[in-house]
Amino acid sequence: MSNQKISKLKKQSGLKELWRRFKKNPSAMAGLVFVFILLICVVLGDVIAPYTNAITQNIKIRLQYPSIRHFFGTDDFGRDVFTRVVHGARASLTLGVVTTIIALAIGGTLGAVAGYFSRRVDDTIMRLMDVITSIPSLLLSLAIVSALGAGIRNLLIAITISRVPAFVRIVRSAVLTIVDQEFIEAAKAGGTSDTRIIARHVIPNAVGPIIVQATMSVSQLILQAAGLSFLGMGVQPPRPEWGAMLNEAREFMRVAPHLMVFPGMAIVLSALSFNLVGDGLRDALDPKLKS
Amino acid sequence: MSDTLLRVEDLRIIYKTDMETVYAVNGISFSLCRGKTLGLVGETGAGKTTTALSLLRLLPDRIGIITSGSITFDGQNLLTLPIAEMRQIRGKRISMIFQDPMTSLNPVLTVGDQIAEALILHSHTRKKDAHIGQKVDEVLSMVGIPPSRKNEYPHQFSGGMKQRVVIAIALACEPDLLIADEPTTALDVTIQAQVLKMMRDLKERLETSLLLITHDLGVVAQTCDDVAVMYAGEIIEYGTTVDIFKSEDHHPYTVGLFGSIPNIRSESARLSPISGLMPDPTKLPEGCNFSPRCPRCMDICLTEPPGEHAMGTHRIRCHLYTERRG
Repeated sequence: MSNQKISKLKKQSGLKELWRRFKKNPSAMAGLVFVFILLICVVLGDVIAPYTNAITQNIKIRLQYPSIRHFFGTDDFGRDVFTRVVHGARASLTLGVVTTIIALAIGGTLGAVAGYFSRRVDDTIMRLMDVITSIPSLLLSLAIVSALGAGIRNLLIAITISRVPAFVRIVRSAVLTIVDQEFIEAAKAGGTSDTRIIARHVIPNAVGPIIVQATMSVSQLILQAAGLSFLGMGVQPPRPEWGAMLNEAREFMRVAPHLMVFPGMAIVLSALSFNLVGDGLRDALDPKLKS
Repeated sequence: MSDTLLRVEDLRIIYKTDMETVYAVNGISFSLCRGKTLGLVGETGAGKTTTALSLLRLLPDRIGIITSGSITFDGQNLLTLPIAEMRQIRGKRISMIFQDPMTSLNPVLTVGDQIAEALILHSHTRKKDAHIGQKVDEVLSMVGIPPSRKNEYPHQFSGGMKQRVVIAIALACEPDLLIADEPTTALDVTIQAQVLKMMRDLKERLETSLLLITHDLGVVAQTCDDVAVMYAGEIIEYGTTVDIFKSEDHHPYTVGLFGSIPNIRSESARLSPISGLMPDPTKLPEGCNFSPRCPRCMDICLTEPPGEHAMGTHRIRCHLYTERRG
């Protein structure tokens, strides 16, 4: 066999390998399917269910049980619950994903710096993170939103801050194990600057645990956003948001339980599916990490 | 001499922690001429790696301290250079390869990328130009790896090939001096022979000087022009390879080293190591460092550290040779 042929056989794209391993996991695939459904809701929401149905009030048909015309029934103002759930996905998902990305960027950088540089830098950063962690995240978010006022932008800031320490911790611990390896010393011996070492050598090796933490974080953030909206500190009416819908449904628990069931299930399934995807990714990445 | 590429004089290095001070290197001097190979031999803990790291100023921050001495490379004092200039030298004029090829390569970058990085760092434009790709191919062929494999990852190569990649990265910018810290210790004997031969050929082609750190005297015999034997942070014997292998006079430690090597021709039930252990580097003995283990120890060895006695190119740091001065 010629050298060329052997090398072609050996060559397997990292991503393809990852997908192959991921596919083998049934619960992870189930999670992925639901995430995909959520994505469709976000992107094609208007096509599935026009937004006007979500906010047009029609007192005459209020509090109706699920029917052919209204899949999930109607709420107290006669608005179609199905449409509201579909459009609520946009708020929850955007909040979850956007805040995760920002928290990851900030937390990742801080974690890499903490793990790579001196003890003093490390201690300073970690003690700062301890301060944030010591305050329960919901209370912290509440405090920030109360101070800054309700609305999506402030909700974003509040949740992002409460998420940063987790990323710092994960990235820092990954970096600490990487920095001990000989190729980092070899890079220094080759004349590479510290910034370049962190960017080109350290962080790409830490990507595994970061991805897993990121997906877990999205699900936690969905829950947190729902919680805050439930308390009235998030998205403002008439914009649909699952947590806010849960809050409105409390009054009608006995009369129209379906108002609670559908948004509640949406929250649970979304959080669960992101968690499953995260688990699946972790398992798919592990054997590669070991080598 | 303009021929001398590297001159180290009376180098002393300590590792200072809150609890204790480790006297790692205690006054060594050696020089290396262009195109020559110097072998640095010694047991684990003798101070060889510390010496090598100090040449590139890679000792751990604040803990590894060069307390005295000088390191002159091509006329420049390396110890007084600002770090930014030191980074220019690392990888471009002095390269280093480490012991374990398994962990010397970044697992998430292709080998081609890693070689290219070395080239890009030290090129004028610091960007990936067209000629960099070409140079990567050249360098890979030079170490005997088909250039078509440049997009593969380190885990797809065997140990010997990984070490070749490491050597390729080190030689990519054609440095004047290559420091090899036990480059073949982690490899099996047949691969070791291949890698050593390759290093010899490359050395001749590129006229690179080589500082080879090893504890294998066989490797020394095959590759080195000069040899320095280190013990407890000192060079106790120094000379050409002929001096070390053929001369009648030796430091008792060197005698012990040669004696420890099992003889392939004779049969023996036991190995004959040197008795005792290397002294605790935080509490070095008074007098000669080797005195506790030396079979020819005299009274003076216990109280006075021996000076170096030169006999032509051969230098021995031992009281036994005080009478005969060359």
